[in-house]
Amino acid sequence: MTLFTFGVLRRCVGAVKHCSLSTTALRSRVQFEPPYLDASGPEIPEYPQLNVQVKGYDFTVVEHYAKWVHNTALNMGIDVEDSWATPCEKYRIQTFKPKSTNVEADYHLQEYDRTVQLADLPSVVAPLFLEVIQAGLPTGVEISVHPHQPEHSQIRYIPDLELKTLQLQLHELGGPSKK
Amino acid sequence: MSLLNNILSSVYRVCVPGVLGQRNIGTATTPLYFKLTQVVGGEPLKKKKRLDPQIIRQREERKKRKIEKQIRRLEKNAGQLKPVDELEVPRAIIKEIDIRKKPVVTISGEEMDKRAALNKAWSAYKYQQHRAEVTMIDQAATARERALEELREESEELWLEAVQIDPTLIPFKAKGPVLTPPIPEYKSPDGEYINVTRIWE
Repeated sequence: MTLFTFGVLRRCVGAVKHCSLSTTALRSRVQFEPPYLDASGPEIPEYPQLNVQVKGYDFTVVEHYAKWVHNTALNMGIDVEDSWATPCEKYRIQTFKPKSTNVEADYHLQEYDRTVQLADLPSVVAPLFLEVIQAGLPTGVEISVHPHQPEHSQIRYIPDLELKTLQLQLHELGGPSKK
Repeated sequence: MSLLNNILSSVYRVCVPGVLGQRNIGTATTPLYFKLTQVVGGEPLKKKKRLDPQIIRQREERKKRKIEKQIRRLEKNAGQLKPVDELEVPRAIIKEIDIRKKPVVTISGEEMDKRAALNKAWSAYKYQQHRAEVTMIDQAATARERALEELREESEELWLEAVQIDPTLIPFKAKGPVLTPPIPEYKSPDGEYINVTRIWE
C-alpha cells in the first residue's frame, strides 16, 4: 500500500545486489489501492511477528550468517522489520579432573546472539524459508524461530530503577486511574 | 483497736456524710492547696474530622495522576540500550589510536590494476553464487505457486486447508552440522558451566 515498498527501494539503490525475480512482479503490480479492499485481511494467513535468533560461540560465523539470513529474507520478498544484536552471554566453563572436583581447565567463552525480526510471513512461504535457512546453517551455530514476545525486546534495555519504583507506587495506590 | 486508730489517724480527713446515703472518702494526706502544674506543650487531642469520601478519592486520584505523569515523562526518554561488547571498540585501543594510525602508502598503477582485477573477479564469483541461490529459491517458489493455483482450481476447500498456518512449525529450532562424526564410546569429562554475564540491576 505504501509507495516505498522494498521493490522501489531496491530499484533506487541498485539492482545488482538484491537482484531477485520478485522485483519484476512488484513493478507490474498497481502501486496504490483503496484501503477497503484489504479490510477483511490477507487471503493467505500470515504468521505473527517472528524472531529468527542466531546463537553461537564463533563471532564471525554468527555475524555473517545473520546477515545472510537477513538478505535471504529480503530476496524472498519477506518483510524484515528489524534486526539487532543482544549482548553476549559469558560463560566460565570448568572441566574437572576425573573423580574429583579439582579444576583441570578453565575456559572463558562468549555466546553471541543476533536476531532478525520478520513481519507478515505468509504461511505458504514459511516452510521454504525455513528450509533455505537450515540448508545454509554453518557448523557450531543454532537457530531458533519463535514468535516475538515483549520480553525479547525488553532484555536489550537497561532497566530503569526510577521507573520501577514509580510503577510500584502506582500499583500500591491501586493501579492506573481510568480516564 | 490500735490498728483502727492508725488507719483513722492517716485518714483523718473523712468527710461527714452530708446527705444521707452519700459517702465521700479521699486519701489525700495534705489539703489541696493551689498548685501550678508543669507547662504541658501539647494541645488536647483533636477530634478526627470525618473526611468526605469524595475528597479522599480526589486526593488519591491526584496522587495517581502525578505519578502517572512522572512515569510518562520517564518513558518518553527512550531507555538506554545495553552495550554490546563485540560491537564497541575497546577503550585501550581508542587510547592507542595515535600509535595505530598507518602511514599513507602510495600504490603503483600496476598494483592498483591488479587489485581492481581481483575485486572484479571476486564480485563476479559472488554474483554467480548469489544468482544460483536466488534461481534455486525462485524455482521452488514458482513451483509452489503453480501447485497452489492448480489446487485452487481443483477445489477451494482443499486450497483453504493447504493455506492454513501450521501450528507445529513455529517454534522451530535447528543446530548446525558438526565437523567430525561422534567419537565412539567417548567419555566426556565432568565439568561446570558458570554464567558470568553482567547482570544489570
